[in-house]
Amino acid sequence: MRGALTRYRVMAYIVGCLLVVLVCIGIPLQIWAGDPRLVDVAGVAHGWLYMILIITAVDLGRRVRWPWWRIIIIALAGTIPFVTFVAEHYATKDARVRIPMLEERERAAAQQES
Amino acid sequence: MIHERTSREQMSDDRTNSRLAGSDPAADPPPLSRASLIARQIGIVFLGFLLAAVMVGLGVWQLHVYNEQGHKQAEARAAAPAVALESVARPGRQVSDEAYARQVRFTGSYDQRLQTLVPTGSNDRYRVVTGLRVPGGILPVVRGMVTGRQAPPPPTGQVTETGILMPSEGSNANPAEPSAQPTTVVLPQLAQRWNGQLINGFATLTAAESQAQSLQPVTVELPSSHGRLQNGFYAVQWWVFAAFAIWMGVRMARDWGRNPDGLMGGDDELPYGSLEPTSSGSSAGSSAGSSLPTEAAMSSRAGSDRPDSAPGESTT
Repeated sequence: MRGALTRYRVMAYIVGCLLVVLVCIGIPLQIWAGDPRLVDVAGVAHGWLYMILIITAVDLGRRVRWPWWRIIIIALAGTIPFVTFVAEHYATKDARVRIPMLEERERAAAQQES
Repeated sequence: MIHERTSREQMSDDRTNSRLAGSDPAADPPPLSRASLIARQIGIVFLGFLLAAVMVGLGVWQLHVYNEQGHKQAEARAAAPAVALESVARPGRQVSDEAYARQVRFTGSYDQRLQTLVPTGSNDRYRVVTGLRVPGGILPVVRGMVTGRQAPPPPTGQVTETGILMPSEGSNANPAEPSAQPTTVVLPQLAQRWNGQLINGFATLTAAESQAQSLQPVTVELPSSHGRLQNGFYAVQWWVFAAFAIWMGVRMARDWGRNPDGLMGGDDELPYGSLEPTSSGSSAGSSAGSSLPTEAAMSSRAGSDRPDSAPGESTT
């Protein structure tokens, strides 16, 4: 569970930074300097990494029993610069509340079994 | 309308029956809410497919846009101001790829003996290729197109003209008849027949200059450059997203069926219940009754249900 949270957080930071680079550096370069190379590279990379971000978010969500709307928020936030970090902050905060509760229940269930 | 409703109720009954036959009879909410749940499930799966269709369309559009851009880039290149031939291509030397598919300006005199007709493959039309003697060698020039085998002679004396420089065309891979003349301008073949150093490329005159020599203009097939890899990437990305949208719709529908609270997961029988840290999550729980046990009910339930659930399922 904690591993899934770390995976999600790492991906959220990578995608968030890449999106900021893409929007704040790449697009001005393309428009005013006529240099589309950064947009070409970062755009394609962002697309694939974004997919991995959603996969890690779904994986984490299934483990910590998030409601589905949270995944949709994370997916939408992954396309808006800076908002990615805000979504990550709240998602992590929520996951940190849920994980101890779930672990507690798992422990209780394990005790019942033995 | 009425017919639709009854069919839905039937579906809900089927589901209820299969549920009853299954492991967890206690988790069944009242039939009415089950019908609306199935409507929601159908809705979300439909939405997933709808989104997927839009994404597939976006992928196709992306492919189209980038192909267009490739063409436009090639056209912009061909429309760029002409450069002097000797600055980009010298006889017998390699020509950089940058020099091809753009306009060059060249000065020299045509050698009428070095004239050949290259069939276009349709309607008895030919491209007229004439050798232009430039300092140090020969530049093959496609002066224009002609119908029938009678080509007007090239202008005499020193001329300065512009045309698009292109690399040698490939020889026909599979000519209809082996003896037939090739329909391409193949430089090594010209070099065999013409004496002298050839420039590694041939020029096709601009439309205006072809017409000035009473020849029909020739359209140069521009190679579409750059962006091919990107367009493929973007298109594939949209298509993968489309598959993802379908998958998510199906998973959402499934999870809703397991826990009407809209929680993810639920593959394991261990009833975690509503885990909203705040009290907001309990609103759905109270209406759905036993499917979402409270904290207190959880511990007793977990004990009684434990023997039914398979081992290893609690590992999340």
